[in-house]
Amino acid sequence: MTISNLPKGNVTVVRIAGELNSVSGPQLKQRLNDLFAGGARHVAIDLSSVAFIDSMGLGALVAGLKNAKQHDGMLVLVGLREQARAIFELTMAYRIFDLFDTMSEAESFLEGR
Amino acid sequence: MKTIEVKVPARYEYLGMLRAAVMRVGALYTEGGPSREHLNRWALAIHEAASNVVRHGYQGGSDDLMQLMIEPHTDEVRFTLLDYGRPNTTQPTATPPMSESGYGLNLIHAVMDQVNYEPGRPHALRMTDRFAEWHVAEHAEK
Repeated sequence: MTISNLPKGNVTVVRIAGELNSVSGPQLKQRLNDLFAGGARHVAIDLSSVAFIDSMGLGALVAGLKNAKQHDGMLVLVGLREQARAIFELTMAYRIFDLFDTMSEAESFLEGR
Repeated sequence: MKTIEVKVPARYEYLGMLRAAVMRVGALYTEGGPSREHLNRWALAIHEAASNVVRHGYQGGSDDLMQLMIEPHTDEVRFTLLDYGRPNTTQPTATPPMSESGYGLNLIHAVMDQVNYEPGRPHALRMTDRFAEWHVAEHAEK
């Protein structure tokens, strides 16, 4: 898995490629911890290059969401692919996340917040 | 249809091979087979089961082999995951909203119609999904 992040206005875009799983989940959790500790407020995670998410990967996203709320910010998810969507439906995690099809939609949502 | 058997080391990096085998099950059916949604859900459930073996049975990984058996039938598919790690008799519990862990077993039970764990040498996790019942329900709704 590769993780890259890019500040865009008041939003930090985090791009992930590969799988979000038992190995990469803890790495993402640490990266998000560092981002919020470093002053990031709103984070949009681009999942359009993530082919698979397991329960540990979902756990990392939930940890990031809680971290965002603790910092009075938001964490949103963008571009969920078909195979990654299964875990969101089965756990009903789609109820706690703001999900967007495109990054521009997510940025519009977060702008001014 | 023949039973498919896949053996991989009990390590996280091999779980994708088990998922790939599950995703190919659909190709064995000429008609009335599982939908793409079924395949995605089965792949996730098998991944979670095997991931539990790696995490709990082998404390993070081992070169010991775990074996996945897939038995495709007309109206159901039976999966059996065999391993020689430490037994895991954990039962699924309700996962509160905003929980960072505890989803794995619940996912397996949410996907499969029947789940049985038999500790032994090897331990056997048997999972069955009667996917044809889904088709009936889908048609009934239309």
